[in-house]
Amino acid sequence: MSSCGGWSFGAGHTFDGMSEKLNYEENIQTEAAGGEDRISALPDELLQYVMSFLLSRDAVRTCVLARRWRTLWKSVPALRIDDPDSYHGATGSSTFVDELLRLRDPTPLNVCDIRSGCQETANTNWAKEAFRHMEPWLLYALSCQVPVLRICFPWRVINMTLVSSHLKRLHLYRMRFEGCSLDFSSCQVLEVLEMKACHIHVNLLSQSLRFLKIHNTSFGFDPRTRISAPNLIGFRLAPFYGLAPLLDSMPSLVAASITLGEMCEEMCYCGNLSCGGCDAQAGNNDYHVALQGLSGATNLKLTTISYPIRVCSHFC
Amino acid sequence: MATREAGKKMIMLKSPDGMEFEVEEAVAMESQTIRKMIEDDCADTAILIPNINSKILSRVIEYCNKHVPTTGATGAAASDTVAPAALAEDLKIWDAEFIKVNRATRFNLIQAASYLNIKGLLDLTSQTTIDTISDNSLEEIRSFLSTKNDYLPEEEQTIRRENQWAFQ
Repeated sequence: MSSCGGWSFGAGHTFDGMSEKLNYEENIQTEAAGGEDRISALPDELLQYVMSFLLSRDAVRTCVLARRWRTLWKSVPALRIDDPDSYHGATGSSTFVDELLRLRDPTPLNVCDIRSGCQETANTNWAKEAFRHMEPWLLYALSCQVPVLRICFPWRVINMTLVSSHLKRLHLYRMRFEGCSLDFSSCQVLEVLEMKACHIHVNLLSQSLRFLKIHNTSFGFDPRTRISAPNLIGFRLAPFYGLAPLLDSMPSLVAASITLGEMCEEMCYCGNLSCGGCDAQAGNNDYHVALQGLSGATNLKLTTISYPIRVCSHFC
Repeated sequence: MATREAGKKMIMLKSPDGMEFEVEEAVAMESQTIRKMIEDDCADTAILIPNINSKILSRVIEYCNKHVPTTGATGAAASDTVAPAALAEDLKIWDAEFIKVNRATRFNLIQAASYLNIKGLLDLTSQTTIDTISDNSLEEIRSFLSTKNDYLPEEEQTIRRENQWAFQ
């Protein structure tokens, strides 16, 4: 029996020591609250909410606990895929996740969390194939009105446009964005976007975003990334490498924290006429274009700046 | 009776065992259930919270008190972007201490968080429950959940066969 990802559903052996401990706890519990507070006393819906914090594989495995648990997993409002075993069928056979999505009741999801520890350098083909399998999972999650999506898939590009009228929070970890789209105009209610340890070489566009956090991330040099999120009220930008992005106006901004790492450049000198953010062009060389977008903000708080940025009169 | 104290609107919460708790309206409104009552104008006198005893209700209020200043108007958590990382970290440490309670209290908190619709507290109690039972054997989990295996041996085998894809 596999013990992967948490619960080890071994044969039904009983440990005397464990029974003793549980009896002791039972006594405390009975004394404190009449013994009617056990998890099993929770209604199905609440029990399934608690189960939604399990990895999906473990949630399905609860089916062998007792009759009541036989189909509870089918409506657990979460997809949590965190164990590499789930990708083993990537060569063509049905994967755990495919079976899960086939047999699960298509009830709404609260969260979809897909994390792979796989490294492209370790096995390129495998990672590529596994990632290809992930796209239908994302589509499934979006079709189940998922409001929170977390994806960690090192150095992979999502080559699909996310379309959702329910997605509110998106967390992207360790991914690469080059030659693809970070245009979230098809996610009209997306409010929170976090990008951590990503490589960003494209523009980022969203009308609906309220909070944006980009940290431990690198930007490209050419073209310079433009961030257009006019309705932000909270913004944290802490890249470690690359050319600081151009920020379009954010008039609703309440709090911002900008920390450029030591390997970041704040000025662009490419001189290319098509480069909207080139400081070398006439008329651009007297102020800091990267931070210009913040200048319209009320109550702007630049909390940390490790790089000696020249703050111009726009901020004074 | 809702009163004013130091410029802040106060709300009275009553537990079924007769205890009364005066809390700031903003703290009480961490509960979406109470928020709705207040917004629907059903809350100008003391609000009776059924099924939640004073011991549990006081813990719930303690949680809401700690969490109220860091939740923005949009309901997005402080850790999103605006609040300093140190503040989010402080809350995490506080949560970890707060939830060091016995099973009975934790289960009561789950029920209270569900009834009062306090997502942060429901998530904290649920996650802690799952952390507690992870890495246990099937039999240990049954004991923990006070669940009796009511499958016939052949039934259990059938269930395992049906869901073999999850046990590989």
